[in-house]
Amino acid sequence: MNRLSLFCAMLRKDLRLFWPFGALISGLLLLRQFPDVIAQLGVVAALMQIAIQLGVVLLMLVVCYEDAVVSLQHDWLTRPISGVTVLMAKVSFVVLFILVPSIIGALANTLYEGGSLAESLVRGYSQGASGALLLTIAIVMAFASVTTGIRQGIIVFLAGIAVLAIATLLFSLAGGEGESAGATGSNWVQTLPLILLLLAATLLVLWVQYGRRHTRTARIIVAAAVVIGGAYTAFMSWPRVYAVQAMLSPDPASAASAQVELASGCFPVRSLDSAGSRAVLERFSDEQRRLASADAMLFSTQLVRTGVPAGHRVHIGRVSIVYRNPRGEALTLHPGGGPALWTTVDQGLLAASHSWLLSNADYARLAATEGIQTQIQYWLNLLEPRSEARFVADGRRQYYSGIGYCSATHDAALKRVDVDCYKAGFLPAQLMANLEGAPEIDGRLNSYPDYTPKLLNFWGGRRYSMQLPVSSAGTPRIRITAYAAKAHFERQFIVPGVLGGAVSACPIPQA
Amino acid sequence: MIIETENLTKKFRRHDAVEGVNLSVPEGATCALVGANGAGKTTTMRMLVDILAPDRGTARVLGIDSRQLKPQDRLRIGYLTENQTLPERLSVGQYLEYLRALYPNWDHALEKRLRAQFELPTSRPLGKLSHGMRMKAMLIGALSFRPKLLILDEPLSGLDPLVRDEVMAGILDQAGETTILISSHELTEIEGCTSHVAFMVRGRLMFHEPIDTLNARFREVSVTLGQAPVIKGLPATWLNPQVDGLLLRFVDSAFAGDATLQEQARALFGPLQHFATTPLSLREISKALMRATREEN
Repeated sequence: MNRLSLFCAMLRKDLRLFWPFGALISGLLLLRQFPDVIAQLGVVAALMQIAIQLGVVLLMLVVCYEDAVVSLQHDWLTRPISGVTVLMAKVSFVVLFILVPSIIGALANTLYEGGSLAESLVRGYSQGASGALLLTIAIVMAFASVTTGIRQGIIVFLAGIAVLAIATLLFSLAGGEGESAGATGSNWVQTLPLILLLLAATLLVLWVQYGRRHTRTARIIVAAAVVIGGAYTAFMSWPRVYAVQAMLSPDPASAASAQVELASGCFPVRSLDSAGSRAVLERFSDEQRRLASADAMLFSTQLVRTGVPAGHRVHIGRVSIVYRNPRGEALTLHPGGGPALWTTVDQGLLAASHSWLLSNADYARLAATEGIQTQIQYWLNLLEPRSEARFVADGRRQYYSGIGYCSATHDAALKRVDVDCYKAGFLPAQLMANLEGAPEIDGRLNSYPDYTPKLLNFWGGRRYSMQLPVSSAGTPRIRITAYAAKAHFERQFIVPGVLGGAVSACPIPQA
Repeated sequence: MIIETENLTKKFRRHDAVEGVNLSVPEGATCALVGANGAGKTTTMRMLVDILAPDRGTARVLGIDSRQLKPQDRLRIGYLTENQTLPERLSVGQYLEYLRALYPNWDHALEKRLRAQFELPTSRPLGKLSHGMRMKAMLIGALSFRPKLLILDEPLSGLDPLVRDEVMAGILDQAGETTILISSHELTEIEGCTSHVAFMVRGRLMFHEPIDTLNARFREVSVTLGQAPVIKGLPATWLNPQVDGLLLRFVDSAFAGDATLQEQARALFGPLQHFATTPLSLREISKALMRATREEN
């Protein structure tokens, strides 16, 4: 009996057992790929999303537990069928009922939205079989292979959540919060190794369990992956994340071509009750405002790009302020470690401002320190234009090399152009849309950049949406620029005093 | 030998489930693995079919190290245990159809005959079958590919006498062409087909031998003595001695003939008023051994 017929027998058995559940999940997954339809469901949509996620996990678990590996009693253990064949059958079932509907759904929705067959196929595989879904499948199957059944699975899962919550709490109590690379574009340094670690661990666990049935080894691998992953997360503070990012600069020497300066003079200061403060203040989190107290002040700093190569942009990944005494020792403020910051989405061109929130008590303490200095550190990224596309905002969708499938629609009533692009694999760091002929500063960026090295960014796809305001009545022409990271570098500025100059020269303005 | 274990050992944490078991089962034999609950029978069987890995020692099944059993080797090994987890929502017919696809050596005629013999409702899901029906379905799944070795772990447990007979008839059908290792507490039922007996106590194999040899060396003995006996210093092979006035009863586990035993008794107690020996069934032998082991503890 060859392996194929054994595989078919096992798959046929699972289909017989689980096709109704599988069909239900498939239908929901298919539907999920139609955001327009989902949006019409209102509140039910959110519940449906949760139900789909739980349903997907549950389907995989019941299919795997049907022929559990951690078992002394399951029928397959003494049948002429290898663990690898069982695994192949389970994977095929999951592909059939989870992956294929997702791919078909994404494909059908693209066709429904007017995309070409080519784009539909690209979006079908890159969106339907996204890295997140593939990783989820691998993790759930590995999880099922080291647990005995649904009950144990739920207990282990809840225990895992509890351990994670405790670890997070301990980590934050130890002062580890605020280190996330978040929207800097470099967060891949934190996440990608974790993803690769998880993927390697899950594949190893599946091989050990289905190939060798060595549960203890498999569980040790799981525990080791969790410990290594946790240690890596704790270890990768922002400076380390950035150090890795900088090490991978494609052209580190080009950083010299970008010149930036801190705007000179005292930092502009406002009290919280001053006009215009309210809007800025709302950008801070409740926690930040609570820490700064009611008598806090707002001040802002500005970085000015004085020399950037033509067409290039300097994007600020992160900025921090540290106050130091004449001995160079950092002065600790509230638990956050420095004044609270609200970052702007920066165009990467002329200048960028940052608003800071500082309590009066902290200010008083700092101002009283003889010879205090303010150290402002910028972590920067030099981006160069790599590809460009120019087209009319007539709604037609086309493929542009290095940018992907793009279209722009002019909405005369709302006086704007909606730009929509989709790129699968080897994604650019950022896209910018602009009206042809308009100054670069008027361009609109897709949300946050992503500096994942090209070779590691081959799977999946990303949708880029940008809105451009237009004043003219005619159909405008659009220019899309795809940027790639060229260099990652740091700049540090040290100014005397607390607010951009000696305390006597830059005091808090009187109300 | 179809089954041959050497120093087979398995521990669960600090508990020695099986310790140093050396068991040989010749081809064509039907070997009853006997012992009290927790004696290590199930663990031994699980190691034979590689469901469990031994901590020490080896088990060879059909000449192959059990740890190296390949799917094709399992075409020749049937295994059945009372608490087997089956695809509960499959009907009997679907289950057998699934199994049929796994075995190129599946005997359709035998399956058909057993289905008719067991009167199984083929369209009913396995999860909705009675315990007896379920055992019959599993038995068809273990017999229909005519395995060279059949390992049956408590196949008769919880069955009513009628079903027990039917299941036994199915097993007996295979005896001869198939080597069978069977563990069961229903010793009366399996005695008829047993050719060898292996007895386990607390993870250890006390003995394994042909049933004829076993039957020959076990006798229930009752002796009426001239005076009330003192039961200290009796031979170790005299199990469970009981005194009731002048009457001494025990089980001799090394019976070598009435004359020899009478001689022994006379040497110990003087003239005997009455002497009688009775052969024991496998069930009685087993009970005597279990009681003796319990008293030793």
